[in-house]
Amino acid sequence: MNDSTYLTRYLLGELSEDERTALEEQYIADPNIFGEVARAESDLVDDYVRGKLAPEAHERFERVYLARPQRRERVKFAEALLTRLDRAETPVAVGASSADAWFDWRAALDRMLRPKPALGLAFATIVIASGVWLVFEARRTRQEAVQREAARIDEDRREREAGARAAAEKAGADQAAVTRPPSVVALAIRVGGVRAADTSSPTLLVIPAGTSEVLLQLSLPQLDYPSYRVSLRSVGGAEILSRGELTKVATGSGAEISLSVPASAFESGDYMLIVQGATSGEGFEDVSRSLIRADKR
Amino acid sequence: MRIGLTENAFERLLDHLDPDRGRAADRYEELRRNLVRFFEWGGAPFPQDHTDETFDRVAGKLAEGIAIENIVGYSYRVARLVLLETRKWPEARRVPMEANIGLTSAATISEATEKEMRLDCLDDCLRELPADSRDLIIGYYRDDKQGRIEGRRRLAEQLGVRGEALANRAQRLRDKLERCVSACVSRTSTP
Repeated sequence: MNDSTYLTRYLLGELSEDERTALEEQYIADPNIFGEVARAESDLVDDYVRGKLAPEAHERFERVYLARPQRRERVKFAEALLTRLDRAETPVAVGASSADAWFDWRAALDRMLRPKPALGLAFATIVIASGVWLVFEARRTRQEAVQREAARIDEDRREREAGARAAAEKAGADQAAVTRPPSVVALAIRVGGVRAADTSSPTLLVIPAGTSEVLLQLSLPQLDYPSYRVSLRSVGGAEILSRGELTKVATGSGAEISLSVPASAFESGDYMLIVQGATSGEGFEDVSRSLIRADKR
Repeated sequence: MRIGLTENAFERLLDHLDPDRGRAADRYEELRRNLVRFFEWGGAPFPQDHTDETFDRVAGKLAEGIAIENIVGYSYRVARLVLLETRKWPEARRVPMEANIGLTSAATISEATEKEMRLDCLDDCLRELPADSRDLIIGYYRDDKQGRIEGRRRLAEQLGVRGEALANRAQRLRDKLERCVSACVSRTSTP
């Protein structure tokens, strides 16, 4: 059995190449070890969501683990799950099926609405009317609770991020510039829906000094081409990016393509991002043109 | 060159996984999920694409008539090669490991709306679970004041199962719940 700290270090990309290779060979060969890594990942994500990671691990988690869209989805799922679980304050009585308090109103409603042939029409009407009221009341109450919880989570997250930033800044000041990790700026752009050029309102891309790469995340919720081609060129100038055979990756809110561009390829100015989809006739058609205004500082 | 998973190749792959088509489809889904995870853990930039690439190569070998006894083990070995390639030639399809994400424009659905949608989906998915599974997932993952290890040890005692068995079951339920929520959110957010 592997130590969970060791598995956490693997998930945060802290192991050496040799250690990483050895562990991968182990869990590929042994489903039990594969399961251990999966469980260590769940616990790691839960600790992050609950703010229980040490500052260094917290910062590493955000920098390394959250760099992948799939992993961000996993964190969003954990946020929802833990919001629900942590709200159930009563101890779990195994087998009693009573721990999930938020289901009580729904269970009661189910029982009330279950067909009861012996009841008269008048009683059924009262039950249904009560049920409708209960549905709206319960939903309203739940939505309020959700909004309060979302605000609380946001506040907690902001506090943790501020703490992590302060710790990172302090650590950064203590280190030589050469040891500083490369920083990345991400730009999310929604693509598709309208095939005409979308150049009316440029999307601002701020590239702070010291940024090494720009991560473009193209959201394609309404498009379904087998593959895509993406190019980025300065307006009236040269092409700085051209990628083909790109396929979108499903995310919780749709699908997206992620690609990175060296920050050094950008100068301050306007750029046209062109997305094309592969057609059945082996050609490509334009599906989107977006104007990006780079502000390099 | 990518060979691509044709219908015939996919059928052959399923045949190697299990003679029963239903069980073969389940095993394929499980293998696919595990390969995606393998690439995620390995820090590969496009886990889904690399998984497709792995299946393409395995299908290519099957199409060549090569006898493969353990298709799952073989697939992992191929996946490992694909992973090493992504590490060896990161420039080909690179998304940086060391990311410091700061989105400058938002997606169409606001964060608060998405959170609410996800919670609604979670409620629906939890309701689809049997009551004892719900109790188990709540007991296993809730924030125990006495500590995670102690809380899980007591839960295993209450249920009369070994800790390892409890942990496996909880993880399987969590994975199932996550897939259910992801599919629900995807359905709900697609116009």
